[in-house]
This record gives sequence, C-alpha cells and structure tokens, in this order.
Amino acid sequence: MLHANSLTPIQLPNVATVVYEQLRRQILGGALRPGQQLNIRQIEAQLGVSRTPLKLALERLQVEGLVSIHPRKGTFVTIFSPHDLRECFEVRIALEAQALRSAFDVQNRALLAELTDLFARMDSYFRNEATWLDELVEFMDCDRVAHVRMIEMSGNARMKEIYEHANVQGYIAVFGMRFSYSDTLQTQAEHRAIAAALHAHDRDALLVSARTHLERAGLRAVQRLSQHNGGEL
Amino acid sequence: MTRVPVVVGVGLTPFAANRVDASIRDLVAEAVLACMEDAGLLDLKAVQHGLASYESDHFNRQMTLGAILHDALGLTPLPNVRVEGGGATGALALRTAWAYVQSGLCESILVYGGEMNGRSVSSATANGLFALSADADWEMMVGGTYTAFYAAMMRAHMQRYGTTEAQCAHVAVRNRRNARLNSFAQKPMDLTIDDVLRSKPVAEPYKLLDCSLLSDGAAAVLLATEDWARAHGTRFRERPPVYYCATGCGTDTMRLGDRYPEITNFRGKRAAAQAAYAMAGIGEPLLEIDVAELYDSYSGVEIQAVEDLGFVPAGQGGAAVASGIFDADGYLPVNTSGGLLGRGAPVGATGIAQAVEIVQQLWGELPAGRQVANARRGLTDTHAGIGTICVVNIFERRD
Amino acid sequence: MTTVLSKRDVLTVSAPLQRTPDPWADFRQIEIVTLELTQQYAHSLGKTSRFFLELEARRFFATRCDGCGRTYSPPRSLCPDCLKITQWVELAGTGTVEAYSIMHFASGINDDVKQVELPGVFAYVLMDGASTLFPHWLRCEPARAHIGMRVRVAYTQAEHVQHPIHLMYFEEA
Ligand SMILES: [Zn+2]
Repeated sequence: MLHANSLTPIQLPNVATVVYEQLRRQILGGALRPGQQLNIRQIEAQLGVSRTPLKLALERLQVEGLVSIHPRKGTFVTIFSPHDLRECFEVRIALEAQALRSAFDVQNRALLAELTDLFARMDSYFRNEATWLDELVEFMDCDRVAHVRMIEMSGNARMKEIYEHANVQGYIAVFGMRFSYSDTLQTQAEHRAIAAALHAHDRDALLVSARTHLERAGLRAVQRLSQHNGGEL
Repeated sequence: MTRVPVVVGVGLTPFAANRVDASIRDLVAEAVLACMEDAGLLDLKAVQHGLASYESDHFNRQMTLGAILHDALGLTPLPNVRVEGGGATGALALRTAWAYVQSGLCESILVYGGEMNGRSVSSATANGLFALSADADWEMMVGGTYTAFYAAMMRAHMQRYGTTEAQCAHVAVRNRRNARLNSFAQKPMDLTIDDVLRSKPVAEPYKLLDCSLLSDGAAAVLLATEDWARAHGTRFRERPPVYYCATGCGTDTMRLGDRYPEITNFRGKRAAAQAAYAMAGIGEPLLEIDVAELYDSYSGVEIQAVEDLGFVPAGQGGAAVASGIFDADGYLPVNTSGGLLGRGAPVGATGIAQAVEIVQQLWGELPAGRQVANARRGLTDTHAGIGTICVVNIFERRD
Repeated sequence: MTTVLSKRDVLTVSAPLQRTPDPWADFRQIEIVTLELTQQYAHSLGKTSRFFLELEARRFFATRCDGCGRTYSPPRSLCPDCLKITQWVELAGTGTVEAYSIMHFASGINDDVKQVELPGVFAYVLMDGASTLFPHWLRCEPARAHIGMRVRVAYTQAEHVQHPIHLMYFEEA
C-alpha cells in the first residue's frame, strides 16, 4: 500500500533495473523483434526516464546478448540465424555434459532441494492464458537458474560465464519466435525426467536426460527460428 | 522365451448409431472374421482360449452372452471367460487376456466384444440403463445422470484451475475432425469451437457436442505368445512385431462425493498409469509415448486424462489441449481414431477398439494424415463410471 | 417379464461399408420386433434405511467412524478406510456446494425425478460436520448456483414422494 506520506525516493539503480526489466520483457515477448533498432529518444519519452539509467539498462542487456550496441549506428535487438542458435546449443550441450560428468554431486541435498523446487515452480505455471507471457518470462528465468546451478557444481567460473552467454542467446531466439505452449510442456516433461534422475542419485540417467533435453530444446528453438525466418532451416 | 503377448491380428466393425441389420452375435462375428483375416489365421479352432467382453445384459437383451458368442463363433469346447468392468470392459478384457497368456494358462486367446448401445433403445431408456450403473440407492434415485456427474467434476476443475469451456470444445472439435479420416467412425464432423459452445446444453458445462456417442459395434484382438504367433499367424512375419508390453489398473469410489476433497481428477487413472509405466519402464510419458487413445466420454474428460496420465502437470490439461500438442500434427497425437466422441462407443468394444487403433499405428498401416510417423510405443486409457475402474494398456513395436 | 409388444418392421438394408461383393448379400432382409422388459423388486435400502426413516421426521443423519473420525454423508454402514462399523449422528442439515451441474435433462427413473423442474441444479454438498459430499437437487434459480454457496436441507411430505430420497432436497440458506 502506498500512502501519500510514505513515498520512498527512487534510487538511480532502481530506475535502471525497472527499465532493464521492461525492455527485457519487450524483447523476450517479441514486441521488440530481432534486428529492430531501438529508438532511444522514444523509449526515454515513453518511460519518462533520463539517458543515464537507460544507458545502464542497455549495457546490461548487451552483456546478456539481448541487444547489440553499435557506437555510430545505434542499438539493435540481437538477430540470430538458425546456425547461430545451433552453435549456442552445441556449446550448452558440451558444457553441461562436461560439468555434470566431472563434478556434479548427485548427493548434494541442498542443490537437489533447490532444483526440485525450481522444477516444481515451472510445473505450476501456465494455468491462465491471460498471464501467459508474464509467466513465460518467469518460467525461463527458473529454467536458466536450474541449468546454471548444475553448471556451478563444476566450480569453474569461466565455464559458467560462457554457459550463461550461450544460454541467453538461446532464449532470445525462442522468445522472439513465440515459444509455444506445446514447447513449454515438452520442456517441463524433460525437466521432470532430469529431476527423477537427480532423485534417484543416478548419474548415468542424469547425463542422458540432460543431454536429451538440450538436444530437443535445440531442435525446438531452431525450428521456431526458421519458421520465423520463413521456413528456411 | 518371453511370454509377453504379441498382437497377432485385429478386427472391427464400423461403429454406428443403429445397426438394424445385425444382432449382437452378428456384430461380434463380423469383427472376429475381420480379425482372422487380418492375422492370416486359417483355423479359428487353433486358438486356445476365448474371452468375451461386454458390459450390459440390459442393452444386449441377453444374459450369459459370453456363452452365446463363444458358441456362435464355433469356439466350443474351448475354455471361455467373460469380463465386465463398466466402461473399461474392453480394456479390462485385454488386461485379463494378458494375464492368461503370461500365466501359461494358454498360448493364444481371442478377445472379442461388442455392445448394442445404439438406437434400439430410446435415449431415455439408455439414460435409465446407464443410471443403473451409478449407485442405485443414492445417485440414481435422486435422478442424476452420468453427464451430470462428469459435468460437476469439470465444474470443480474449472473452478480450481481456470479450465474453460472453449478448451473442452477443442477436444470435441479435434476428435470429430480426426474421425473424418476413419471410414469406420460413426460421427466424423467438421466443427468450430463456436459450434460446440452453441450446441444445446445437456448438463452444464457440457453441451450436446461435448458428449460422446451411443453406438452399436464390435471389436476383436487375437493375442498370443510370439512362438504361437509365428506358428499360426501367416501374416505375423510380414509386420513389425507389436508387444502388449504393460498394463495397469486402478480404482476409485463409486460416488464422486466420497472422494472429497479430490473431485477434480481421476485418482484411479493416476494409479493405473503409474503401474503401467513402471511395468513398461517409462519415466516421462509425454516424451516416451508416441500415440495414445484416451477415454473422451466427455470432451473435458480428455483434459483431466492428460493430467492424470502424467502427460502434463495437474491443472494444465486445458491449456495443453488448446495448444494443439495432442492434435494429429502435434507432439503427441491422441484419439487419431476419432475417440469416443468421433468414432463412437459400443461399451464392450470400446477398449478393444482403442487397442486396435494403437496397434495399427505401430504397424504403420493407417492412411496418411491419420498415421503417426515413427510410432513405436502407444497407450490406451479407458475407464468406467467416473473413473471408478481405470485401465491403462501399453503396446510397443520391437523391431 | 419380457413381452413382445408388436412386430414392428421388415426392411432391407445395405452393407454398412458398401463392400462389393457383399459377403452378407443373402442376409440383408431384416425383421425388427418391439420388446418390453419390466421387472419388479422388493428392494431393501439395507443398513442405511435409518437415514430415509429419519427424513420422514425431518432429521438429517450421517454415520461417523470412531476409528478415523470421518463422517459419511451419504451414510456408509462400514467405514471403507478402517472397516469399522460406523455410528449414526445427526447433522444440522446445512452445508456448502462443492460442485454442481445445471441439468437440462434428468433420468426419468421415478415419478419424483419426473417432477423436477428443468433446467435444475444437481449439487454436491459438503454438509457441515461431514467429510464427503451429498448429491441432490438444489432448488434455486440456476444462475444463482455457485461453488461455495451455502445451502440447507428442505423436506417434502412423505405422502408426496415415491422414493424416500425425495423426502429432501436442498435450498439456498
Ligand atoms: Zn474409519
């Protein structure tokens, strides 16, 4: 509840975060399409913010690979070819397999609990078509965290960095192309298979289910992207 | 050598609203002749056991119908058994046959069944007879109908999960559209969601086009050990072998109210599915099943089924079916036959006919548009009452 | 008793799938007769009879299991969870709708049902103090029906009903 006498001053970083989240949702939701140039003045006017927080937000989006900033030409929503996307998934598959094989501790109860919780949350989304898009962003955030947690077990910070970059690039494509509800259901089922392997402390089953998941996710993403690009694979 | 039964042959009659030209024994004979031809079985007397599948003495105007059908088929003096399990009769019949083969009681068994649920009785009589299969002292005498029991369940599902009538209608439209590619189907139709939503209310939220059909029809499946199939089924080597690899059964209370607070979904179906998945070694059914025939006695029942069978999480069935994931060109096609909504539902034949569709899918023998590409594992879901007896059968192609 | 009411019809039908040649060509002339089957039973309401007898006195009874504490409404004489014999308990006769359907057709199973006004609300009610849902007609404007609606048992005169379950119905509380 906001009362007239209890307003709190908005800190600059908060404004930047709000701008970042709004733009991110626009990109992931497909309102801002891959390749589209961002009209900085218009965004400033629409959001009623100054240049500095907008700049901070765009830098953050660039780090995630969602936009590309070209000093003289302007800022664009990143564009991907199916080929780029296939490469992203190949990187993910290689890294995830390596991380799971080398250091993943199937006995780690805290991690197991967190992953179980993440997968359960993902299973609880999408009951209402009206909030579909909001939930999709949350769904993909859970997905990202779950996969990153598995990578983190390797203890290799560099690997995590490369992984997150490849991961985000995968998302922009699926979101820009309107990842379908049917896709999320398949994702959920694949995650449940991973969760079952975790619960069974079965490393082999875990490797197989994680690999299967990423291979299928890659196929889905490439398929969506090529549908978007006019059916060319 | 494994005793897991293989399917040697399958046979169906067309399902129809009114087979005035045939008695129940004529219908079953038609299905069995078709099954013999399909199996390439030269002598029906080589079969070691019979199994009669029918639900109702009332609808068929005949008690001890098992003996009469067995006689009509010339199967005497072979052993025979009759199986009844309400709406799940056909699937329970197959499950029983599975056990007969697995136990070593016989090497081959002919499962034949049918029902005269069509227009030889008025719909008032049909409603009255079906009401007899509810709890007679309570639900039946109050005047409830199965449509109302299912409708109340769906209302609770809608309240809890936000499932919509339009999502239910998607099932009614799709299954009747699938039926258009099935020349044996009773009610192929090209409908829109609006057609369903605007059809006459029966028991809200269900409307006329949400309700499945009353049919006359029969079906037969010949099961055997692989050795017997090789020796007697002259067509067996021509096809990829299809094994009836797993079966699960679960039950629930007769009255919906006795299940409170679990009234939105089918508990018995979850138990049946879990048992079948454990037997088949299936972890994630959405990923590991290629094609399924689901019990769509009412459109929304399919929505509840995809949740209880573990294809999607509880509460997401409505949005899932509306997404098209279960359509003929979706990720997991269901009711390619047209289902109970489009193909029809002669009770004693229904569960057997579901298996026929799946087996033909796995053999790869269905016409383009209906055939699912590379189908290797298929499932049937059948239940009685409002999920009172649930049977899940799984078939697998192994070549 | 099974009776033949009439010889109804003789007709010639075509093969269902128009298969040529029709293997059943010589069997396409069909005769149909109308049968009527009627049965009469002295049907005992068994160990739950007291429920119906209490309705005549405008009292609403359920059964309770001492083993698990569950209260069954409609009554069950044997607790399915504990297999213990249950005890009769009187309930207040008020409750909450947990599920319902607006029915546009009802089975004509008895004269009581034939008199139900349609469209009518068939409701599953959680009686106050009970653990299960009681199904019965809720006499109210169908559009008013909703999950969570408070209702109470209303009673009918015994001489007006055929089956004693119709000694009661639900109305909005
Ligand atoms: Zn008890």
